[in-house]
Amino acid sequence: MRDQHPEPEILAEYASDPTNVANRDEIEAHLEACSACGEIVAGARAFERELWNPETWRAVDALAGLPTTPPHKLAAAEEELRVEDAAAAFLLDPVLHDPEVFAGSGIADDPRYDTVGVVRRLNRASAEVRERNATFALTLANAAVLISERLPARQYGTEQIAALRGHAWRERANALRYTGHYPAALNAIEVAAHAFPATTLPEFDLARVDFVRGTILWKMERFDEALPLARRARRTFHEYDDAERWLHAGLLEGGILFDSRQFGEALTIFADLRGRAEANSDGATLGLVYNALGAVNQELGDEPRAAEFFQRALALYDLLGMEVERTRTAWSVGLLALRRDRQDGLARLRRVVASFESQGNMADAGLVALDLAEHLLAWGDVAEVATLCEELIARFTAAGLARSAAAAFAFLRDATNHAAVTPAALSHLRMYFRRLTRDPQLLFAAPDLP
Amino acid sequence: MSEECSGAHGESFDAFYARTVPVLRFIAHVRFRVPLADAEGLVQDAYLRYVRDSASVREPERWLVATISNASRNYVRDHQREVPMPDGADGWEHPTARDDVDAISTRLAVSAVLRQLAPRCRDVLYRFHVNRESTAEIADALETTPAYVQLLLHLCRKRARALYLSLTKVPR
Repeated sequence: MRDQHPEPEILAEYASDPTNVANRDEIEAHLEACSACGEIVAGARAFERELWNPETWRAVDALAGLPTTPPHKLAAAEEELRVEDAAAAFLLDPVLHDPEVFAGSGIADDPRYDTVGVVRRLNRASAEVRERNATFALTLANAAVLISERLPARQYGTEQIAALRGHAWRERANALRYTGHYPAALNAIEVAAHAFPATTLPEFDLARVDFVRGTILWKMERFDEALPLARRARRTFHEYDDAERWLHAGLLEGGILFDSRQFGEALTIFADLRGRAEANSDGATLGLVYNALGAVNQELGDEPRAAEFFQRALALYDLLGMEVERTRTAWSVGLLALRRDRQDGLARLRRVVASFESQGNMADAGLVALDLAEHLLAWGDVAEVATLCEELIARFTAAGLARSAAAAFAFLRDATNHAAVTPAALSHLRMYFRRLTRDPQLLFAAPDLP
Repeated sequence: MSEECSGAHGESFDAFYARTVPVLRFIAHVRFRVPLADAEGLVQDAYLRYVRDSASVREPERWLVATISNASRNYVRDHQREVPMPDGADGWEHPTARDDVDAISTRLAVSAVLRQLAPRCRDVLYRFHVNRESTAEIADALETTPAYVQLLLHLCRKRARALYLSLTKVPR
């Protein structure tokens, strides 16, 4: 029996009612070893089940004889899209590689560029360069907005133009977020939010708007407004089974709760993300989840668990060769190590400063140096603190933050010259510079110190 | 169709469309009871939107299923006077859970099999499984005996099941 499969009809009879077949024991023994026959039994059971379902019967006549080839309109739309994208690539690719070349191209004033394909290409290019060059991303997004606003709805149809403008304004909001212009980013995302409802099927795009708007509000520390948007976006991304966006909306939701100091709720969210991130996210997102779990466990006082998650993130970044993210995690590990072993923690943080400097990331090098200075001062090592403070000004100037931070520099110089650097002053500076890296327009207010 | 808007696992757009369009029609027309012409309009709108935005869609099939579910629900809400809301439709979850989409595929396969049966077979099975009529009631309606109805039910179910198993043949 094990070598010879039962006839499908016998298996179907068995599925219908095991007492219907004479050789039930033999069949059950065979099924234990044969997954293919098990599938037949499962299929026969599914058939029996669906026979009782009124939906099955409604489909019998309702869906009979309908074509399963794409209609002409769909094929024509795809062809139009392909041609416009190819033309846009021909026009734009020579000027997209260099911000100066792009600025000199004058595309915003040239009617040759007034096409849907050009707007789409500019939107994509803006999203691609956002992490590396936020200012250029904003230039590209602004061009996309300008052109999309000029395109005639008569030629492309109201719906397509509405969707295109929504995408362009959303990219502009994203670019403004990266350059730290949060109020302007909020205005831009409002325009996108008003564009999408004019399209037939706006839910997914509105969820993406919620996500961007939630992120901007989070950065502006308007947590109460950000949280429901993050939650709504996560719910919609779940409906659309978009795992990556669902994870990022979850990281946003957890991040808002974390910054609101609701660590227990944040832990629940991050733990919920972990399984799916391990199953099917890209490495970068999984690293973010591990880091978030490390940080929240640290805040909850579970240092061994925090260390475990930071180590997982480190190993992942080593595996993927993600140096910048690895250094950020090493920073968290250094701060954690300080609690157990002062010398080990200091050595780790010094290595992190050096790593950030070698990567040209002077802003983060400065922030780690401030952490280092704060701890050294607490232990009375005043000489090294003075050196670190002197280096800070050079680091944040190199990071392009000198204009907004001028008052902070003056405060720091004054405090260093008068040997009046205190843990409270350093803590205030650290908070300011941390926020300044997220919001480059932020001005410094001197602390009201005793 | 270009590679950009092809379906999952590198299949062509035409193949992707042929595989997914029955599921979308099922959701709009059978589940939400949107009239067929309007349901077809919603389905084509969903594909058109997908073609235009395919670069931002990561799970095309799930995206389309969620899109058509939202579109159908909105349609039913907007046309409540002409199309009564199906029982419990407000509480329906989106059929994005893989199990539910798989169940729709099975339902479509079973309905395709039932379409191939002789009208009398289909009628007997419908009365028994959907109307929940007893064999005596069916016999009464068809002016025959309950024993004959029982035999007919057995044979018709057996025939339908054989067709279904051949349609979903498992290699052994």
